[in-house]
Amino acid sequence: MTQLQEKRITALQWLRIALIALAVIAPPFVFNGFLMSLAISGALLALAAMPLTLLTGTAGLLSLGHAAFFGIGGYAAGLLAHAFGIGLTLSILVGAAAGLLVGALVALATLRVVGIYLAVGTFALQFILQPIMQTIDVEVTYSTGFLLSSPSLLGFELSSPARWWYALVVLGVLLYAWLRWLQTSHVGHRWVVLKDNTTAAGVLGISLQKTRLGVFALTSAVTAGVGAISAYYYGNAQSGIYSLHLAILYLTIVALGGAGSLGGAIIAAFVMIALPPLIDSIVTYKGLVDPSRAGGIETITVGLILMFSLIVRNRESKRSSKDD
Amino acid sequence: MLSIEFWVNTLSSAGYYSLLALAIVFVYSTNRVLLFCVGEIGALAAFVTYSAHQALHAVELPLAASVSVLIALALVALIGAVLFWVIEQLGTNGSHFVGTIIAIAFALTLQGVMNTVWQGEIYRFEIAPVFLDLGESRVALLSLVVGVSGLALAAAAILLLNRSRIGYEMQALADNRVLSILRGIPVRRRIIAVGAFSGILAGIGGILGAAVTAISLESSTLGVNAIIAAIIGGLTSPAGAIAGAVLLAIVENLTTVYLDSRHVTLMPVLLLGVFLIFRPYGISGKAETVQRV
Amino acid sequence: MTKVLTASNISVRYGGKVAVEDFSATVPFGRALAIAGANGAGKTSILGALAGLIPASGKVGLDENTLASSVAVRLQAGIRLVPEHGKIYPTLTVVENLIIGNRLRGDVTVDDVYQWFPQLAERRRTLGGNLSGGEQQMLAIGMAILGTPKVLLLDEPTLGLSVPVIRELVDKLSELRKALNLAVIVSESDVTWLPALTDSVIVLDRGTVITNFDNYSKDTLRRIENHMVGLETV
Repeated sequence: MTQLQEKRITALQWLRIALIALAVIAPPFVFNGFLMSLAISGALLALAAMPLTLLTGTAGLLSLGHAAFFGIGGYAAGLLAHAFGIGLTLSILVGAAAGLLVGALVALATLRVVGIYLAVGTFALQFILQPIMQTIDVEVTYSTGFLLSSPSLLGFELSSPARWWYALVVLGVLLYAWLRWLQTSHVGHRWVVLKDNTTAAGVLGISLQKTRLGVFALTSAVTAGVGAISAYYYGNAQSGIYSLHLAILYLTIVALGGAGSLGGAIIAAFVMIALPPLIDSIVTYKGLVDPSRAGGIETITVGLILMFSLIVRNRESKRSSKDD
Repeated sequence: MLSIEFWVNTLSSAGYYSLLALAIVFVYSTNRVLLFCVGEIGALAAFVTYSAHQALHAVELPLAASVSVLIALALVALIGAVLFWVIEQLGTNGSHFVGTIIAIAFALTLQGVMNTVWQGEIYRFEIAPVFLDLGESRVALLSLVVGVSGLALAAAAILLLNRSRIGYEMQALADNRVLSILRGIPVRRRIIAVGAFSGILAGIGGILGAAVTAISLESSTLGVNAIIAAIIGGLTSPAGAIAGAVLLAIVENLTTVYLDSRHVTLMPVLLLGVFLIFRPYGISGKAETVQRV
Repeated sequence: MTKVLTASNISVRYGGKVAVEDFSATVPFGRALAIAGANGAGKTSILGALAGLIPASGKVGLDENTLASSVAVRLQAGIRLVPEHGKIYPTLTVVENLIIGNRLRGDVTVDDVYQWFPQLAERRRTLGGNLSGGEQQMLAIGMAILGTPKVLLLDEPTLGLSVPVIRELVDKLSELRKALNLAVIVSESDVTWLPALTDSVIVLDRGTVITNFDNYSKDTLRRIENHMVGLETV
């Protein structure tokens, strides 16, 4: 490589770093209230999407329970705040522990069967937790949902959007670094082996069973932890939030960003969070469509994005395996 | 003691659940895809039947009801065919569950379509209520008809599968795709035909279900119960689908009679949980006889 | 003019890996060729390529005609492959298996198959999965020869079968070959039965042809084995 080419490559890398730095630092200064809330929501979505993309992309396991684990974290935060006045930091830990436990149970229950049954198990989880959450809503909070306020993370008070944003950025970087490290380590290698063997019918070897248990428990724990954080941001944890729709949204983010790509998941999360307001404004432009129908069109768009992401990515992997 | 009314309601539920569950089993057997959109296909068929009937009735077309049903079934047959065509486009590359996610994407898209077109409206088919006196009970004739016709159609579909050449080819396809290619079965055409056929089964199931409940977006949750029924019956067993549907109908109706109606959604899922832990391959217990390419 | 199956310069790649490099052979109708090689030598890939199942470069021709590389075209032309694994439908009965095979109507009917394989006639209603190994192989061959077969490709036909069963199979194949004037290609990793099954042999090692023999003398089998193991080189 010539010196000129080397310089050019480094220049590109610098540009990338500069753009990322801009994207990370700028928002509180340039965004208005609405855009800031969108950005923070996007960041929360990205945090939760990262473990799912590992689970589905790297380890090859389909989970429909992502909203359920997210909700476990949210409800853990709500119950702790309601019953013991416990704040954010501890809620994250307790929520993650609860997520880990439930994740381990689901994985254990479906360990000895073909991979699709994990999807079925998580599907069942969603439909078991939903009425439980509804009952908690009715019995404990009289259907208003848990109201969470004044969050502080390890002493850092999250009292403004800017503080929330930077806190989430730091968390995002840490989570990204940790998950990336796992992904490229021998643990991640085991996950890939698991993916290649999930297609085999019947019983997995003991060590692969352990791998399946491990990755599922881990990702469930992280998701629940993010769920606790998210509940504090929105100030509410209520059963209606944690629906199958949400789980499918997460799957769409993973598919859009490329299953297994942490960076892709982050970008896709921000794309998908910007989508509803974007569609809303396009669709109701000059009264083209009744605003009441906008919701349905948003849903159709998400479904189509999911479909096309899968088709496009599948063509990509076909092509790349040909030029191996 | 369980009343005759209870059994008629159970029969009725079993009728439409068995069609939906059978659609799931046909699809899973051929393609290892879990038809998560079965409920949405059924609900869409009900909506289209209703709206088509409204339109045709207004222009006083004779046999408006039958024509509406045919239009709806043609549409869902097309949707089923398209779904399978899309899945075929993906090929056997990549993860084994990509097809299932496509089905989930279809479910979401169809929900969005129904939401956009019909929004949150709830309709009912205009069927004059007729009651029969059986012993000391009064039972709705509609429930009986739905139950009997649903189960009869499901049984007929299974017979068709077991006795006809196309049926053998579909079984062959489910059993071993490569061998089927080598023995000259037009695999792609057959798979798309399975899609269309399953769409029709799901559509009829959805229309029958809507006839005794209601035509609404909520009725796509019938799909959840149908998935449970198919799994507890054994995902690769058509007869199991019917057994699972019957069992689910019994559990569902027992819950309404003896427990709170709030638990009606929870009980089938708990039943699924029990099966997943103790007998994941269902009543039929057919182990996966998968041959992956 | 004798009818022949010609394979010219067949190469098969999976991704970047070369499974078969430049394989060529000519098999006259009524004769049988063996492809001998250890596991992974590329035998299955060659047969798959000839059947049109596996994409490959090179040409496959019957007499003067070059055949397009689709399974449907090659089936119609009479090329029939019996794979090593998954050669019958275990969940269908013998009759149903044969119905599947009978899609392409032609000279050989289901009754003909029953005549050649009386065991199958006796067990018409038995599920494929409940047949013995030998019966499954016969059923697989029966399915493949329905219609108008010209070329029969067998991937490791003797694998897992007992000696008496193999003897019977070998005799049957001989009969079939003569009666239907088939060109037969057999892939084998076990050299024992090669002289009984075939007239000539091509030896394969890691995708390339290393040697071939036009007949079987006393020495040939031992030499083939040596070649397969690498003890002997050309």
